[in-house]
Amino acid sequence: MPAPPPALPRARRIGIASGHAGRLRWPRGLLRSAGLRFAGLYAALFGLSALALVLFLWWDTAALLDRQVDAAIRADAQGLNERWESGGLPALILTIRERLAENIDDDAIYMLVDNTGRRLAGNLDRWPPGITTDDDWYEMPIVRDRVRSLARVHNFALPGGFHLLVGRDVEARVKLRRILTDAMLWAVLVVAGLGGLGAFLVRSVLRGMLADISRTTAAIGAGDLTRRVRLSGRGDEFDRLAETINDMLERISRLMEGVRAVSNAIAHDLRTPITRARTRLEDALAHADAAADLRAAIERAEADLDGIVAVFQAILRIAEIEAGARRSAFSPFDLVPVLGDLAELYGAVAEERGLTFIFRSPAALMLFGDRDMIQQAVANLLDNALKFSPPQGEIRLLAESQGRIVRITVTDQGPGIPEAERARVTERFYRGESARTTPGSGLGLALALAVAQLHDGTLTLTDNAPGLAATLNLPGQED
Amino acid sequence: MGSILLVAAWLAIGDAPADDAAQVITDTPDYCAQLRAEVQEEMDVAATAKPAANPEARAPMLAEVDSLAKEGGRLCAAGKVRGGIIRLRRALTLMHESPPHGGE
Repeated sequence: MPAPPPALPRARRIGIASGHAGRLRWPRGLLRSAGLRFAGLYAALFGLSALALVLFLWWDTAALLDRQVDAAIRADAQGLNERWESGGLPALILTIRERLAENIDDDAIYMLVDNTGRRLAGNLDRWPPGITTDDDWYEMPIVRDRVRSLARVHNFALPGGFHLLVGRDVEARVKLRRILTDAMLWAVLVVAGLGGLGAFLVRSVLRGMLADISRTTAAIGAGDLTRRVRLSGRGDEFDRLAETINDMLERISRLMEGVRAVSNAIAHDLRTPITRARTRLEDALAHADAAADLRAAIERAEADLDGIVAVFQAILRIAEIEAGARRSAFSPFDLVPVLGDLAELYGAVAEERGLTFIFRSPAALMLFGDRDMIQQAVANLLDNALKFSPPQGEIRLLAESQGRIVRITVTDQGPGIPEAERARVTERFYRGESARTTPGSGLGLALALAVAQLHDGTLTLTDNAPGLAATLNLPGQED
Repeated sequence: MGSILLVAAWLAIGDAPADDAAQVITDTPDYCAQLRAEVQEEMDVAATAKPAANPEARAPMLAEVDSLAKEGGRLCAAGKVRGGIIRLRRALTLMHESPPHGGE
């Protein structure tokens, strides 16, 4: 073996200065920016995709060339080994000479030496420095036609102290790899630039889209309930979000208006009976001479206060129904006996007032719901019918089943409700023009509607020509 | 890993003294002359060998070998040694791919 030559040139170590350069501080607002996070996510995904593509290209080009070189060297060495085994040293020397003579690619490297390091065959002038370990791979500099180049070789130990070097000149591949590396570095720069630009655009677009929502909600928070989020007209996710927010704002606005109206109605409708009760008590206190007069005044005031309590009970009941708290009391029941009891009660009252009362129903109508609530809702409809029926008028209570829907209709021949007012008469305390002169709290139809909705049904008001037809449509019990 | 070592070695070539690197001796005018002599010897053998099974088919090949050999010799003489050697190698390869007796 030749004397160990100087070691191959080593890659220079590049020192990295260590130490604390101070903690990098980000503005807190910047870290909390969703736009920045989305932009960062976009840039990261874009960068990762590009990196994956670059790695794949590298693997498919430069790394492939390396694998091909290694495979060619192994195949070459395998052939030489077979020649060595079959023909010994002379055959091996001859084969190396032949392969060199036919090496059209001009890239083959061979070197066969004996145990003293004497060259027996090959195309290197001497054993390369640094190649000391048997059966190992090396990358080494060579000189070809006075030009430095690079070779990849494998050192094989043969019996008898012989050593065989098989390799390839990989200078062309290294140049190609350098070109690829340069191209990929440029690609990384371009990708970083495009990623940054894309991230900036994503952030700008996101901020622009959210800015209007933010401005609108801020204005509403400041008390301007008339503001709405502007739609772009593109029908995208942001438009759908804006529509949802606008729907929510509409509903909040309606609810606020309803609360205001109910508050006003409560104050207005309760002021009269309270004032009346107070006046009666004051009058009795000032003018009643006997205990009987005082007692009568107190009884009248008590009746007025009972009416007020009834209004509050009705309000609470509606609230309870709307909250769905009564669903636990649902059970299957036959509606016909319930309506029969009501017909008997209200029929008697109608007869007293000279009205005609007609009740029609099938033999049985099964419902699943709150029996008392439905009875209360129908009673409210019958109360209204009695209240508004003219003398000699006719009231009908009809029940029928249409498919899976049970309809309970109460008709009268009173003044009816103008079409424009029908949508509002189910609001709490709303009283139509024709009802202003009649006693009542304006809660009867509101409660009937609440009961219908509790049972997943509806309350419809139609013209009975003359009069009003109020229909409760309730889902029947499934078999 | 192999790629990294290769690139590192390539980058380090600039720092390596030329004396440390082994010299390739098949890029020299001597090797060119040696190859030229081998080609000529093979052509002489082909000319004196028994007629081939299909001598007409070998004639174009021999003409191409002769042409390559002459061109290779000319390039080597002109100092373009590697180009000349590649042509001579092609000539030898052509000769070996088409044995004089047609494989009999």
